[in-house]
Amino acid sequence: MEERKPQWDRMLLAALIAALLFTLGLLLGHLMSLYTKSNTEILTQSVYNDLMETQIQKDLLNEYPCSDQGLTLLSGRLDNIGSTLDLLEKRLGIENEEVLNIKRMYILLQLNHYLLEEKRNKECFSNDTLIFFFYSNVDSSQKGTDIANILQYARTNYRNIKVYSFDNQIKLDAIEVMKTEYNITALPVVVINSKKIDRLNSINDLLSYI
Amino acid sequence: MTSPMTVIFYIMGFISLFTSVLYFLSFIVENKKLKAPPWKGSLPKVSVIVPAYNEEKSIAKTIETLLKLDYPKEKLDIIVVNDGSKDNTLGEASKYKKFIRIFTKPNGGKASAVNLGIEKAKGQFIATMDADSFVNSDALLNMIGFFQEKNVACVTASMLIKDPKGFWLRMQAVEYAFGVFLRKAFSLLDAVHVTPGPFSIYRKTFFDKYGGFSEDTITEDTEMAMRIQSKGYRIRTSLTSVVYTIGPNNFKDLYYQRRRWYTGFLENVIKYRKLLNPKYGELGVLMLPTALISIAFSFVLTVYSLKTSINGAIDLVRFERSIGFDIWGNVNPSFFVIQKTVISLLSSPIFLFGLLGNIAFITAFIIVKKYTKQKLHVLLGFLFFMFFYIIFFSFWYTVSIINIIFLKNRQWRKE
Repeated sequence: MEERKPQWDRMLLAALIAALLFTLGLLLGHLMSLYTKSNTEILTQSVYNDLMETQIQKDLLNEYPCSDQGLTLLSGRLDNIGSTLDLLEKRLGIENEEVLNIKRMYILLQLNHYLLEEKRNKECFSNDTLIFFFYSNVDSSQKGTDIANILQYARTNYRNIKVYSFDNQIKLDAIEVMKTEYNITALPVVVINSKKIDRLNSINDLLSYI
Repeated sequence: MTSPMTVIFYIMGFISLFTSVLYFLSFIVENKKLKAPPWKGSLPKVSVIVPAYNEEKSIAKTIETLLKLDYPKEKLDIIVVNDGSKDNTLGEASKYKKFIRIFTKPNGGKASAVNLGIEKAKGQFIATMDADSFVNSDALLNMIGFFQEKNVACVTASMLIKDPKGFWLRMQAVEYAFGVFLRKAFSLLDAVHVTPGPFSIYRKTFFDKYGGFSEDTITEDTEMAMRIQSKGYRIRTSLTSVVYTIGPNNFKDLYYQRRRWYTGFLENVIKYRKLLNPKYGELGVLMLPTALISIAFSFVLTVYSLKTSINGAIDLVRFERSIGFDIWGNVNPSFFVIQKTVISLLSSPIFLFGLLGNIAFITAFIIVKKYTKQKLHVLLGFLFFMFFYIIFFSFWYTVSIINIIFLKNRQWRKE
């Protein structure tokens, strides 16, 4: 029988090329992660700018309380920041400091938005439904995910529903006051138009409270 | 922390990259071996054996394509072995009795039918031809030249699926077209481990020395390929010789076919385990070990994918129920969301390796199309293949492993 020798030189060359491609793949993945991280800095600045802008909008709304242009714009930005935060949480982790910083500012932005909405509701006889969602990312549960999905659906499909989400990890005095106000001891909890709701299994449940 | 599944994906990603690079490298380095050199001198006599069991629908066309072979008629010896058919196979074959020889025997299985043909054959080379396959006219001429290399015992053709329509056939069309590329790569590395029934040509002296097809195995073609390898002979593949075969067009038939193939492959790997040795070249150190690792990986991947898909499906159904099954209500594909999704995918090395794998896949199709000069019908099938093939692949292997362990259903239907 003719004994065959593996062509080690060709296999070695193939292994080297494969290792090079493999490293390039890892490197590209890492570069994209870095890009996401650099996005974090831009996002931080953007959220900070939006926060400043809401102050100006507050003043403007005092003069033109029923103009909703500014609020619509801010709502869109809130949605984008919310989606980006989701992505960052997945990429960098829910306990990442930068993510938590952005989230803190995001919550402040939401609170400002809420105050503006509430003012408009009162002064312009607007009937937007304002919903608070208190949840915990650290002790996440299926119930929390289900409620988040229903609220996301409501936000997408009903223009007069505004949802404000508050992660329990972010400790802010304003949030603590709200939790005491609504007697919130366990999470997740939904507050619709100032009423604490214990059960939210479907969009019909939600609509029944409006 | 990196999960065990991620580590497995990375290991398999590297193995796939390595083997793919090796295949393409072989195509580049062995460029001159892609086609057979023309036969020098007078062409040798070739016997073509067509074993047939209940093939009344296709055998006439099979014989016609053989009669149209671009090869001197006096050098062509076409033999039909009717393996105890219960239908009109014999009648259909008899229409061509002026040009072919027909033998009838009691039903004993494909291997026994081919062995009778070998016994009666007059050629120096013997081709096997399934009675549901159709060969292109230039196939034989493009193959015979490979036998000028003295230790080549077998040359296989490029096998494609005939008229691939519907889910099952389109998926197989992709598998077969990619298989043409793989078999050629294996051939360049001396690592072919199956010589398919549709138009593989053998040197008759090999049969004289080592016997005909094994009648004890359910995949006589795998056994023969491994026997050839174990005796130190070579198997070549002709990219430019195209043979079409009729694939199973429903799950049940495909299931039986694959259970037989994969059980037979595993049985023969066990039987010829001595091939797992560096003295058998790339076959021993790379191809057979990689094949076994791929089987194990596909099983892990399927279990993982099924678990993830089932959990995902349960979550989706629960969510859809909560919003009154307003399927499109929650779809909001803004540029922002798409951009974030793309960035997220590109950040994942596993996704990037998958992308690279697809580029390699498409390149393989381009090579196959260039050499076979055939329409491959793989566009739609490619999607089916991407999403479903690995699930079926691991399912068939799981069934085959269970089959081997529990020794059930291993009797090959005598066809």
